[in-house]
Amino acid sequence: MLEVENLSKTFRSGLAGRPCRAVDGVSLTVGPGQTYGLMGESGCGKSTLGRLITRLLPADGGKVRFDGVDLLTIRGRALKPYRRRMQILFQHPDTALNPRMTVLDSLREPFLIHPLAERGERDDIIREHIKHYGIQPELLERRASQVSGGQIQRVALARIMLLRPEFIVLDEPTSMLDVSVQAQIMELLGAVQAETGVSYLLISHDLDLLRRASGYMGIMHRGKLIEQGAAEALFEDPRQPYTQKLIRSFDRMKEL
Amino acid sequence: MKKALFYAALAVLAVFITAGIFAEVLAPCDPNAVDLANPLAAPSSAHWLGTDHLGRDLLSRLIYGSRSSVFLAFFATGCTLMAGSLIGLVSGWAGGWLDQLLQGVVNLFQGIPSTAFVAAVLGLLGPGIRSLLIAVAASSWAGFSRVVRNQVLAVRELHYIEGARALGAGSFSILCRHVLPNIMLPLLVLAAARVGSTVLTVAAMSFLGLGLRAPAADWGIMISDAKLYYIKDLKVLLAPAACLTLFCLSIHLIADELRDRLDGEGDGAHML
Amino acid sequence: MGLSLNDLCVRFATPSGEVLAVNHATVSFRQEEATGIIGETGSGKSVLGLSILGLLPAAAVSGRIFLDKRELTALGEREMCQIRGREIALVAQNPGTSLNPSLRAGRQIEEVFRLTGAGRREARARTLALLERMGFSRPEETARRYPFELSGGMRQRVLTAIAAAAQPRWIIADEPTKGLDAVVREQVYDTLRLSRREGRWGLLVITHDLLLARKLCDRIVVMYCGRVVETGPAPALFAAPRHPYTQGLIASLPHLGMKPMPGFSPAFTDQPSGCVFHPRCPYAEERCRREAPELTAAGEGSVCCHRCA
Repeated sequence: MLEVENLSKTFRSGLAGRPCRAVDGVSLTVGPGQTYGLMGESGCGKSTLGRLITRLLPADGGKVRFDGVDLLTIRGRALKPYRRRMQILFQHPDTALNPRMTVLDSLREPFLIHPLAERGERDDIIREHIKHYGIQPELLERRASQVSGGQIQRVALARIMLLRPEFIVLDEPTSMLDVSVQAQIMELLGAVQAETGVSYLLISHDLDLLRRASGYMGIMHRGKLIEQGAAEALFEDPRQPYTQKLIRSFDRMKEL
Repeated sequence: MKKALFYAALAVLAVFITAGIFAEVLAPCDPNAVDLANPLAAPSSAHWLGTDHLGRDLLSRLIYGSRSSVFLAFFATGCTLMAGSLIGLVSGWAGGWLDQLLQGVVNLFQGIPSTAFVAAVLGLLGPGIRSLLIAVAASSWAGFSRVVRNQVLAVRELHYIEGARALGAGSFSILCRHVLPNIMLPLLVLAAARVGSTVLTVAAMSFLGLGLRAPAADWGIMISDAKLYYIKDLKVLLAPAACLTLFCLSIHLIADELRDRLDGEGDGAHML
Repeated sequence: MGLSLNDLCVRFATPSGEVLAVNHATVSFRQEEATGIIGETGSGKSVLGLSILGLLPAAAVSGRIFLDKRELTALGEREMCQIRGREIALVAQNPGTSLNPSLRAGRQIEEVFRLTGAGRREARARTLALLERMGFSRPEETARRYPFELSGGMRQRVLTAIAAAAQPRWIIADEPTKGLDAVVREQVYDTLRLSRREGRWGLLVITHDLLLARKLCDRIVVMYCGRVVETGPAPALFAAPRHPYTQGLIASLPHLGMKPMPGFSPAFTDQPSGCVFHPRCPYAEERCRREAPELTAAGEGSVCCHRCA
């Protein structure tokens, strides 16, 4: 489904700034209907990786193969059909939706960009669609600033799913939410995957969350993917000292 | 207290704008009707504020003056706003070498003292309304474009902009649907404040003989005319100067209040 | 001896009417213990902390707050200033912005000692000693650094040192682990644990981080919608939570199943009748819809639920 090969990105601050290798030769594969969990601490480059894959940032080198096609070689309008098939859900609910638009306007946006339905059917489709995402119809008239974080993430996910994508980057989708809301959103994500067969790249700094939600996992540290493997195997037998340190740290907080 | 001042300022602005629009109806006399037998007359029932050195009705000239001053100021600011916003949007959104180039030009323009620049442009183009508009816009677009660029930089990394790009929306549609509506309000506050200073610039240029030409009724020209006579009769100076001050003051009060209200919404208006 | 709240209410006026951010909270904290106030966004836990420090407009607060035998809610602003920092210190939520970026870390701790009457030399020496006890292996070097030169965990430790410097009787830590990575979060835990060895103060940790509260605190207070819904000793409360909300909260932790509770926290302006939790409660009965339960003693703690009464 998605193969990332040797992907790299270097940021330069200013003209003479020191170059910073945010993503450094990362390779990973996400199979159809699979959830690949990407663990990393803040500043490790995991969010940059998500943006490189979804072409929100230009990569310096490497390949992102989606269904066998290298996305990084596609330019301009030719990219639009791939945009529909590949989406990203963001971390911060407070800026996930345009604050000056109503929830309904935000949900209409995919229709303005892609030929998904006739004009007259759109609102009916939206109203039917949101039922599956636990969004109350009265929410549609509200502006984003009047909606709670958990609800915003539901709306953002519902909006993405209007496109029927095959792959979604989930960039810390629950890190700003309370645990009980996190559990709800993760359950919703699981249900959506079971129904549509969509693949996820789940980015998070929470090992426990990844362990529960993903089948395959990678650990990112300072721009590099230092270790990857089946989630349970990785927890049972971590090879890298950094991975071991992370797992220990999480375990210690769970001990009494 | 602040609220009351804000509403008073709105009322004053409304008076000036109404006076400008309905000058023909409201002005008691023709602003250019000379009455040499009656110069510098004191206020009377025929001339509520008296007359100037050529016997022209002062109140009528003030009313017609608010037409040229106020409307020129709003129009010039509008031109500046559009030019500055367009350049700022391009600069902030495109980034890279184009941004660097445009910001270089902006720095150049911001380095030039604006009054001297306006005077120079007017000297080059000759006096008149069109020259004034060009000169004012050319002298102050840079400040606008910088604010717009900074606002664009602030919002372009927000998730809803990235999200729209990920959905496949084009740059033009993102700028219109998501960027502009979210940077518009702080921009309007800046523009409101700028209207005040533009009125002053226009008046100053007319005062120097570079803007509108006598006998046009304009506050700057009236002040200029008054400089020979104010010793004999203070009101010919005081009346247009008071209008100018009152107008600028109310514009600034309105801009100030608008900024406070926007700050509450968490917009970047505090950077003005 | 301790800190106690008696029928505390905090009211805020909003465009859609008055809301009770803290709703008749009666609870007391013992100085020899660390208490964790846990709850989610909008539970009123942070507002509760602010009201103890007297940082809310007096008109918004009703009910009484006692520090030992003194009633804080009866004190004037000037007297409260004497209490803040010296008797009750706050470790604010965001170590990134709670330190003055233009002063060296050491200077900011020294200031507290100077305020309590120490000379320059003595303040310096005590600062270094305190930093060392807070787990900095090279206190001189840390003292010379500016906040931006310190990592998130180090900043949190400096902030805690500032609170500890005045030897207060209470330290309130507001969301000390919000937005932190696992390793830094563990450092914060160590810092707070160390700080307890440093002095005899009572510790009040306001947090949404259940694991931190469980590991660090002796007692737990659970808040929901501005109400105290359950209190109890930490091990017992986590092992056998009584209130259905506490049960749901613990079950939604990722390593304990990540089982979601149904429904949403209600808006403050639109609170359900009877027990606030009844629309989401798996055990709700007719009585729960009609009648609000009282916080009643249960085991070594208390719980606000008809089923447990």
